[in-house]
Amino acid sequence: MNRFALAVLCGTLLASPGAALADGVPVRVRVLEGSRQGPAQMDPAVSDLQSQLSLLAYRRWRQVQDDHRQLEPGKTATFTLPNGNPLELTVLEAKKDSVTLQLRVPSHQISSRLKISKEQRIVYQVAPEKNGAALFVSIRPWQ
Amino acid sequence: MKECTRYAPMLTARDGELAEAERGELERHLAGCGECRAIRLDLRAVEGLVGFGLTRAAAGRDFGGFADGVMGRLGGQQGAAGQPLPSPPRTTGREMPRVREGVLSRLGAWFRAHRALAIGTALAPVAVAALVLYLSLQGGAPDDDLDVVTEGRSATVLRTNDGPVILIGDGEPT
Repeated sequence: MNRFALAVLCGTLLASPGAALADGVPVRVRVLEGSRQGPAQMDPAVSDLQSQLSLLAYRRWRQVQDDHRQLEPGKTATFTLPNGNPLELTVLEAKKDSVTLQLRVPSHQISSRLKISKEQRIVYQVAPEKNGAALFVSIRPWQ
Repeated sequence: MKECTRYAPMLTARDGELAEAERGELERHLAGCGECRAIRLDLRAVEGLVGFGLTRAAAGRDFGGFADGVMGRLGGQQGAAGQPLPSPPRTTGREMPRVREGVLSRLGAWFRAHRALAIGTALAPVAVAALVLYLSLQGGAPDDDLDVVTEGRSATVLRTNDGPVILIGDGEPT
């Protein structure tokens, strides 16, 4: 019995990382709109991003989209932004506690490679400011 | 009040430290300023207490054999005639193995007495090597691996504990 339990434990430990990578990395992608106009207001849906958003000059924040995807390493997933432009996201490398992502917004010639730890999220401006407002995405892997 | 500020440093002056003119000015100021007079009295009282305390502590100790003790120690090092210390005896070739044995036995005794320290010292390089290996396997901090390319558009990266915030420039790419 003990040998069987040990074998199961070893099998689980050895198989887990491979299984997790085979299934892909769960990524939450939210689209936010920041505006300089009007009174300061924070959409409760983005209150968890306050420490990052408060660094910016935009006073009003609202969440426009919220998407959860399972990204397979090496395969590009495309998200459509509210302005109609595509956002491409690729997991380049997934480790136990960090993920390396490639982010592209071809319409604005934006291309970035970003490595973040499991507890972190990226806030990225994906469109230039227009009429005092700009579009951002928040990307959080493993969520 | 401005005058008091000027004379305050002079209140602790000892006899002879002030020039005659300064002493005269201070006395004239004290004659007309009760506050500075009170401060000087306080300072003198504290000074007196400290002096009294030190004298009392010194009186409680016996310094009778102090000078003899110092002279005795000097005499032991220099000899009665004040000659320099003789050089240590030279070791001959035949005596060297015995000296080496002595050093080794003393080293062995030290290791036996300080076993934990000796083991710790021996393991320190191993621990450092393990730490270096661990850090190299871990890789750099995630924030160090941020490669933002915006093809003609400027980008600003703000680092926070929760992750980076990346802003792109407003102008159209060139």
